[in-house]
Amino acid sequence: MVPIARKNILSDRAKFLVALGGVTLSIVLIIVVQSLYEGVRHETGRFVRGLPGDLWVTERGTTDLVFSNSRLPEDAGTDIGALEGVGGVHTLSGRLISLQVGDSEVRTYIMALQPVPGTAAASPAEFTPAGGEIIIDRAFAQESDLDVGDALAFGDHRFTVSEVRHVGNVLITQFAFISADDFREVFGIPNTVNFFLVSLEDPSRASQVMAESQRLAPDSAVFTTGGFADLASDTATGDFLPIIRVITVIAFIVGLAVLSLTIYSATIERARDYAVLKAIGASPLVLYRLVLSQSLLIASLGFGAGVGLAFVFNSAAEEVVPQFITYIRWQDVSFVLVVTAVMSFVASYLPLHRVARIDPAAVFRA
Amino acid sequence: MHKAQRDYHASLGDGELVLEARGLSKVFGSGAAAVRAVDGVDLDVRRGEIVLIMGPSGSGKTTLLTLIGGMLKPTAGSVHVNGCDISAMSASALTRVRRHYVGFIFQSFNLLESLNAEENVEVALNLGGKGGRGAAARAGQLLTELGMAHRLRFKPNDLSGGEKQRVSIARALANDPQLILADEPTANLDSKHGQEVVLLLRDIAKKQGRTVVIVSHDHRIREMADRVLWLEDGRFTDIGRLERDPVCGVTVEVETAHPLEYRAHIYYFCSKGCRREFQDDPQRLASEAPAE
Repeated sequence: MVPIARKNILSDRAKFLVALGGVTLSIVLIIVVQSLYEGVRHETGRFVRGLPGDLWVTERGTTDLVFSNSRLPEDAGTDIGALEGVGGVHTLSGRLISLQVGDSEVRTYIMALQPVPGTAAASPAEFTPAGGEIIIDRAFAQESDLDVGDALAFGDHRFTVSEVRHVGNVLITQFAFISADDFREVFGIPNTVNFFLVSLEDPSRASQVMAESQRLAPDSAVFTTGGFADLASDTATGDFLPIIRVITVIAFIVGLAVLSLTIYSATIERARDYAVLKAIGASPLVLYRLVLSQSLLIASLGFGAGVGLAFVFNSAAEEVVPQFITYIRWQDVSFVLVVTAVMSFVASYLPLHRVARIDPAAVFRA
Repeated sequence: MHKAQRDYHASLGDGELVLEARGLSKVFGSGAAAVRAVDGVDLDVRRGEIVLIMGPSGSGKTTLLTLIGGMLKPTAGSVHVNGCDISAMSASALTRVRRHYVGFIFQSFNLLESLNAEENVEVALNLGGKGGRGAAARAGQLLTELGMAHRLRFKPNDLSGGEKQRVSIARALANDPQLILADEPTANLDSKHGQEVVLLLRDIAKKQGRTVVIVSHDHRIREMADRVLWLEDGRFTDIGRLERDPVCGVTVEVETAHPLEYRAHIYYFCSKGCRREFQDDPQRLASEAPAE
């Protein structure tokens, strides 16, 4: 079969490139914005799940680490640790803090993790630096031009960077860890912690431990780690979601407009060709398939280029803006594929009407 | 049926009838604005016959061609192609008729610009249900037979007018139709290429046994046609004496043309404009005109 659609589209290179560019831009925009949203969601969830513990005890109404405040009585940790089926309990405290680096001020979310005395919880080295030291996130280090051995100050207290790694980056801030003693001394509120992270020795007792923990820590709520990770992810991205949707719709409209105009103008310009094909016996279905193939061809090339460019763009953006955190999921790529298909079908609607009205007898007009 | 047709059929005998039109009419618009483009035309054309339809501009020639080619539905009357009444067919059935039973040759060639010569012919084969390498080979063979073997991969923009018309003819023959309809096939060609196309059309009818109906003003086609019909105001009329307008080359009927005597010879023109142009430079134009 002669590939008329491909030949038609490629015969006007400039128009083809404009259409391809428009669709590609639209796809890139949708994927990048969606991946930014998913990046924050994924990273928030990953951080919560990466801390020790199967259950999170929080103050009632707390939804996440950064946007809401949780205060719990420190001594409740010992009581929770004594419950049947509990293997260990950690306290977690954190605060968004401005620190001094040389003459400039930088902000990061400083946390401290500590096993509750008397429980079997261990101190994971990755979250528990020695006194006077701080473990910082790579994005924060890049943004603040910090490296191992550099110092940050909070008033009279100095913290030396002991490790730079991917700790946690949720776009608006990054996480850092100091020792529990330093935290208590510099930022702590007496007899108060923010969260208890409970490790279960016997997972089958999870529901009993949750109920008992809630009773032991007044005015608290208890979540599974997965549940709190999801809640924190929703909270971190909740304000963002309407914006994402608006940008996605705008990107879709831009792509649709470019594709529609290209296919429509190509149809008008080639109206005589369609009349010729009708005259020599092309059925309406053949002509509709031709129009749709042109639209699908541009859309699918735009999709391929758009997905590729989105990966390149995200990678480059993360180099330039370290906080720029993205996560491209196959579900999102599939969604964009569906969006692209919808775009090409909608873009073909008016041209199909135009083709249907073309009179084959027009071929006899000189 | 007018006198010329009656005389012709009396002399023809019983060849296979490929095209048969009865009381064919087409009216555009309605009420006071109605235009009767074709008005009660009867036409029989047999296998291997070349019929030339002539007539002044706006006489309904092209409308008649679109009616017998199944592109337009008649207001009244019937058209039979290969014995099938196409005037009663649905739009999709007419599409099949155009695909398999009728080949079209156009004045402005109407090739698809984005395809090369071979692909232009292959498209018609694809529409006829033939695909793959077989279709490409057949397209190449048709073009080769028409002397286009060296231009198979050329796009229409890179072909001369004569070459484009050969591609158009190959496309018309692609699905082996019995009936070929040609609308002014030589009008956009120079003398040499026009002559080549005339000979090709003759071969299509006489060597391949196809039926060829041509609308044209070309006197060379008149010379090789089996029959010449004169259409005026949508009706066939008895053909009178025909002369060639020395300015535009159009064949005109002496009775209705605009005459002018110059150096003891009467010239006939299709319009007052052509006559005026002749008067501006009679010496040159008269010398170019063949003596009738």
